[in-house]
Amino acid sequence: MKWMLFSPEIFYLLAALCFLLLSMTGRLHRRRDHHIALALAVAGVAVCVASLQLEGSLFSETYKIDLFSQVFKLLLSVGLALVVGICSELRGIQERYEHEVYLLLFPCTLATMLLVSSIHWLGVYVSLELSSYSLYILVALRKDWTQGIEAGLKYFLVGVFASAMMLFGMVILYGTTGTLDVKQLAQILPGLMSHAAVVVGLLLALSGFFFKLAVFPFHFWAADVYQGAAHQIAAYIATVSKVAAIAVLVRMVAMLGGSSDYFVHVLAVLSVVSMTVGNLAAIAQKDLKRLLAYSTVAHAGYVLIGILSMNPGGYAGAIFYAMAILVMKFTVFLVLVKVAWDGTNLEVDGLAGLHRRSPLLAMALMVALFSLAGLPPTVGFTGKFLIFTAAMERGHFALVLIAMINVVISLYYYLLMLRAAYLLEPQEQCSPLSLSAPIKLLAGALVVVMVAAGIFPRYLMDLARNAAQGLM
Amino acid sequence: MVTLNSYLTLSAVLFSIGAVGVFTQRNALIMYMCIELMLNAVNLTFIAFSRYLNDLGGHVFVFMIMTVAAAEAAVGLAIIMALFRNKETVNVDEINLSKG
Amino acid sequence: MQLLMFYILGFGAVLSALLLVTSKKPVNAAMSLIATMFCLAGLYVLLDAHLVAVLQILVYAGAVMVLFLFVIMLLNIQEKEGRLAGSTIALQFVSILGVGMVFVIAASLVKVRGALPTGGELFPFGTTKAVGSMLFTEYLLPFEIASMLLLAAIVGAVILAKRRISDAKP
Repeated sequence: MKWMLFSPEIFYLLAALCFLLLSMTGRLHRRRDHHIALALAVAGVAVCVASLQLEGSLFSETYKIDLFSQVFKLLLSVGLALVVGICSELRGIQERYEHEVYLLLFPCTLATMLLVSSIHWLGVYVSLELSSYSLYILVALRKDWTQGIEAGLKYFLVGVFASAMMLFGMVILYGTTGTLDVKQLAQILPGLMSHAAVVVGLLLALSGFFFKLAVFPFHFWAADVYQGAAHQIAAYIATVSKVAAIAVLVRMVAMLGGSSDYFVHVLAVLSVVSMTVGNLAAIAQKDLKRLLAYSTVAHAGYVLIGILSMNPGGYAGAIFYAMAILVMKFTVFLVLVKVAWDGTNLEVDGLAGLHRRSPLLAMALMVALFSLAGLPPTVGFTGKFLIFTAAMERGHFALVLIAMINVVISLYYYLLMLRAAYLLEPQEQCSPLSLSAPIKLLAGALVVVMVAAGIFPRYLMDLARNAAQGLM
Repeated sequence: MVTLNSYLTLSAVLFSIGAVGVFTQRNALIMYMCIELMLNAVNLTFIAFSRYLNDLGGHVFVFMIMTVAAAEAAVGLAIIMALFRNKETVNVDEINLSKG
Repeated sequence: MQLLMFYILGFGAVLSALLLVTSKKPVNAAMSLIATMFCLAGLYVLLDAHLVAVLQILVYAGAVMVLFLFVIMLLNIQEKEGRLAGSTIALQFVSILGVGMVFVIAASLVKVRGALPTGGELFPFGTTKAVGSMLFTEYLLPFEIASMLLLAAIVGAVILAKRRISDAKP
C-alpha cells in the first residue's frame, strides 16, 4: 500500500475540499464551521502521528518520506490545529469569508507538507507557490480593508520577485548540472562547488525560502504583513509558514551544501545581518505585531547559524528550534488575539494591566517572552544552546559571539513587553478578560510545554537528532 | 548556428531589465509586469538549456511556470483591483503602510 | 538564417523590454510586454520548443496579458505622470547594479558550460506528445499540485474581487 505513505497529504486535500463544498452552500454557521475545522485539524494531527514512522519514496523518487519529513508534517499539523483553535472569533475578518479562511488554510498547510517532502525542484517550486498564494489572499482578507489590501500587495510583490529570483537560481543549477532532481544534484554538485555560478545558483534557488523565513534581503515584507494581516493569519505566517521554510532550508543545505566555504560565508553574513537588523528594528517598534515581525527576522538569523554549521548537531538544533518557534510564537499570538479581541492592532502599551485582567495570559506571555529571549528554564534556551554549541564545534566563534550580543539586545524589548504587561497601569479601567475553558486549558498547556521542554528536552532532542540523522 | 551563450546572455539581459524595472517603477501594475518579464527570461533560459542538454525537463518546468503565472495574474490583479477601488491609486509610494 | 532570426527576435525582445521598464502608462507597458512575449515565442520555435511556443502565445500573451489589459481598462487608471523613480541617484545605482548583474551572471555561466554540443536530431523534441508524456509520468505530482493552486487562486480572486467597500468598515 504505497498510498499509505501519502495519507497526511490526502487527508488535508480532502479537508480542503470539504470546505470548498461548505463554502458553495453559501450558508454560514460560524460555530459549526469552526467546530468542523477544529475537528479536521485535530484529526490531521492524529493522522500525522500515525504516519510518523513511515518511510519510502513516491512519484518516481521525487517525493521522499522519512523521519525528517514526518516530524515536520506533525509540527505543521500541530501548528494548523493551534491556529484554528484561536479562530473561534475571527473579528479581524468579515463573517462572509470565514469558509474561505479555512478553505485556504488547509491547502496552505497541505502545500507546506508537500514542501518538506519534495526533493525535486519542480515540486518544491509549485508547492511553494501554492502556500504563498493562499497566504497572499488570506492577508488581503483583513476586515480593515485598507490595511489588508496594502499588506497583501506588498507581500505579493515581494513574494513574486523572490520566486523569480528562486527560479533563476534553479535554472542556473539546471544548466550547470543537467538535472532538476535534488537527489541526483546531491551527487553531482560537490564536485562543482568551486564554480561561482553553482554557488550563486544554489543561493538564488534558496532565496524563495529566505523570503518565507524573512531572512535579511527579503525581510522587509514581514513587519507590514504582520501588521496588516488579521491576528490569526499573522500567527499562521509566524508559525506554520516559518517551520516549513526551516524544513526546506535544512534539507536542501544538508543535501546540497557540500563543503563550500563561499556558501557558508554568505549564509553567515545573511545570518548576522538578519539578527542585527531584526533586533535593532524591533526596539523601535510600538505596534506589537511589528515588533513580533522583527523578532521573527532575528530568530531566522539564529536558525541560519544552526543550518550553516552543516553538522548533525546544527541540523538537529535547527529542527529543535523550529519546534520551539512554533510554541513560543504561538503563545504570544494567543495572548494578542485574546487581548485585542476586537481584531484591531495592539500597541505594546496596550498590554498594560494584563496581570490583573488575566493572570493566566500574563503568565503565558511571560514564559513565552523568556523563551523567545532564551532564558534558561525554557525551550528557547535549549534551542539556542543546541545551535550555538553546534556552531562552536565548527569553529564559528565570532558568529556565536555576535549572536550572544544580539540575544542581549533582544532581551531589552522583550522585557519592555513584560513591563507593559506587569508593571504599567492601564489608562482607563479595563474589565477582566473572560476566557473560555478550552482557551485557559490551552494557555496552561503551552506554559507547561515550554517549561517542561526546557527542563527535560531529552525526548524532543532525540527526535530532532534522529530526524537530522536521516538527512546525512 | 546560434550558440547557447547568445541565448543565456539575452535572457540575462532581459532578467536584469526586469529587475531594474521593479526597482524604478512606482506603478504596482507595471512593477508586476516587470516581474512577469523576469519570469519570461527564466523561461527562455530553461528552454535554451533544455535544447542544449537534450532534456525535456526544462520544457515541463516552463509549462508549470506558465500555469503558476496564470494563477498569479488572477490573484495579483484581484489585489491590485481591490487596492485601486479603495484608494484610487496603484502607486506604491502612496501606500501608507510601506513606510518604516 | 537562424542567426539572423535570433538577432531580429532578440533585438525586438530587448527593445520592447526597455520600452516596458521606461513606460509611464500601464497600457503602453502591457503592449510592450506582449511584444516581448511574441519575440520570445519566436525564439522558442528556434529552440525546437513547439508546444511551449504555442502556449506562450495562448496562455501568456493571450490569457494573462488580456487579463492585464482588462484590469487596466476596467480601472481606467489616471495616474499622475512624470515621476518615474524616487530619486535619480537610486535609479542610476540600481541600473548599474542590474547591468553589472548581467555581466557577472553571463560570464560565470560561460565558465561552467564552455562549448556544448548542439542537441542531435534524434527524436521529435519539444512536441506536445513528448512533453505530455513526461508531464503525466515523471512529473505527475507537480501537475496535481498545480490543479490545487489554480483552485486556490480562483477562490481567492473571486472573493477579493467581489468584496464591496460598503461591507469593509473597520
